[in-house]
Order: sequence, then C-alpha cells, then structure tokens
Amino acid sequence: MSNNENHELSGRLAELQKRGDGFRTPEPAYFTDLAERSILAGKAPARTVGIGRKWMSLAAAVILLLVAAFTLWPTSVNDARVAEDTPVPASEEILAGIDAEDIEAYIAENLDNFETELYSAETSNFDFNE
Amino acid sequence: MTPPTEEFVLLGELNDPRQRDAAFRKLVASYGPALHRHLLRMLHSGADTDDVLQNTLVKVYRNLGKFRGDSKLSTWLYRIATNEALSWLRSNQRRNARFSAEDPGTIASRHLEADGYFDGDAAQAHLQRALATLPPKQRAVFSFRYFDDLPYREISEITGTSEGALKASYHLAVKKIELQLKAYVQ
Repeated sequence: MSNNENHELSGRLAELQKRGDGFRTPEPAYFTDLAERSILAGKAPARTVGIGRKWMSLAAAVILLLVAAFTLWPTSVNDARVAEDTPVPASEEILAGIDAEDIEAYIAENLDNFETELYSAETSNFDFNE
Repeated sequence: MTPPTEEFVLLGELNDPRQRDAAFRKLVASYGPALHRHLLRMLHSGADTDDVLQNTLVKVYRNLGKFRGDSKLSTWLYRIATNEALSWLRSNQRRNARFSAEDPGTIASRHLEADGYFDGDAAQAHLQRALATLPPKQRAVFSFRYFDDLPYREISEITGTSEGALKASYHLAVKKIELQLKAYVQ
C-alpha cells in the first residue's frame, strides 16, 4: 500500500490484493450511453409529492373522518343501546367473507408495507403441513 | 481519477449552464469506471450495479449546483454512490429476508458465476464471496481501503465516520475475511 496505513494484511490477502478484484470495466461506449441517459433522466422533473397534494390528502382524510364520525355516532339512548348490543365482528369473520384471491392480490400489491417481524410473530398465517 | 487542475477546469465547466452537459459527459467518462467498480464490489451484481450507477449519476446531475467544492469531486461522487448502494442493499436485504434463507456470500457467489463483469479466478471469487458477508458499510470501508488504497481521511469524508472508527472497522473486516478465506480453502 502506498500510503503506509496498512500493516495488518496476511500473506494471502496481500497476495490477492496485487491481483485486483476480478471485475472488468465496461467499454467506453457504455459510459457514453450512460451519461446520455442520466442527462435525460436528470432533466426530467423529479417525482415528488408536492406540498399542495399533501395538504389536499390531509384535508380529504379529515373530512372523511368527520363524515364517518357524524354518521356512525349514536345520537340517542336507543341508538347507543343498539350500538352496544351489536356484536363487533372478529377479524376471522371479516376475512372469511373476503375472497382468498382478493386477499392474495392485496398482499402481493402491498408486500413492501408488511413487516417481516409481524409475519414471524403470526405463525398461524402459515400451515407448515401443506 | 482526474488530476486536480483538470478537476478544477471540469468544475468550472459544470457550473456553466452552457457547458454543463458536455462537462457531465467528461465527468462520467473520467469517474464512471471507478464508480462502476466500487458498486460492483458493494453489490456483486452487474444488473444492480447498472441501475444504482444510473441512479447515482442522475442524482449527481440534478445536484451539480449544490456541490461547493469543499471536498474533492471524487469524494462527493463516491459519497453519493455509496449512499445509493447502501439504500439499495437495505431494501434488497428486506426482500431477501422474506423469500430466501441463503447467506449473502452464497447469493454473491451465485451472482458472480453468471455475471458478465466478473472474470476473476477462484481465489478472487472467494475474496468477493467473503466480502459479501460483511455488513454493507464495513464492506464499503474494506473496498475503499483494500482495493482503492484510499487514505482513512478520505474514507471518513465519504462515509461520515471518524478515522478511528474506520481503522477499527477495517481491522475487523480483515480478520473476518481472513477467516472466511481459510474456511473456503479447507
């Protein structure tokens, strides 16, 4: 090594270092083409969510929440009793009503939003006997 | 890499809107090969390297106006490329953890066998396989030091890590790779 900061290499690593990494560099035409593609992509507007769009989404979410709260809130004692008496369906019941293909399609589309820790914690998702 | 005077001239051209595109082509011709090699050592896949290098260069092109010349141009380019590679590896690791139980060394080895950019021998393949088992940031440190002979000061500027921490990281990386190489030989 030229800058004298490296003293700890064994004979094997020192010998391999002289031979390089084993990769070959592409032809100059590759970099010419790459530069052109990068300039083109660099001039195209970057895909960002503008602040206006963010505020619009937030406002829409707040309005939806207000509408849902207004519609579903029990307005009288009777309504409150009805709400208390109505059983909340369990996740299993809700899932049973959805087509398996739809569930699989949803998971495939949103796979990146699932955490692996949740998968491993929920072993019941997998039937290892299959 | 480019000598300081040429780098100074190139920077002047990059800052001139009329010469920017031509100067960018020169930049890619001059620094592209070193960046490509660095990314190959980080990612061990030609296809991934092509994508990450293009992402890097698009970012470079868009941010040319923000480069103030506080560091060498190569340091700035390496920093962007390394960050892009680390993000790429993070998302890849998440995906692989879901679908594959293979260790990173085996995955790298399989990729290298089929990779058009790798024409090394068995010993060089073993070294790359051992390199792939290091944590990504340590892999970058080892690669800069061992293959590119960069001084710790420059690696520190690229990675944002203190020189002391880099020396410790490199020392550990060397030990790990030596162990791996011994295991492959036996």
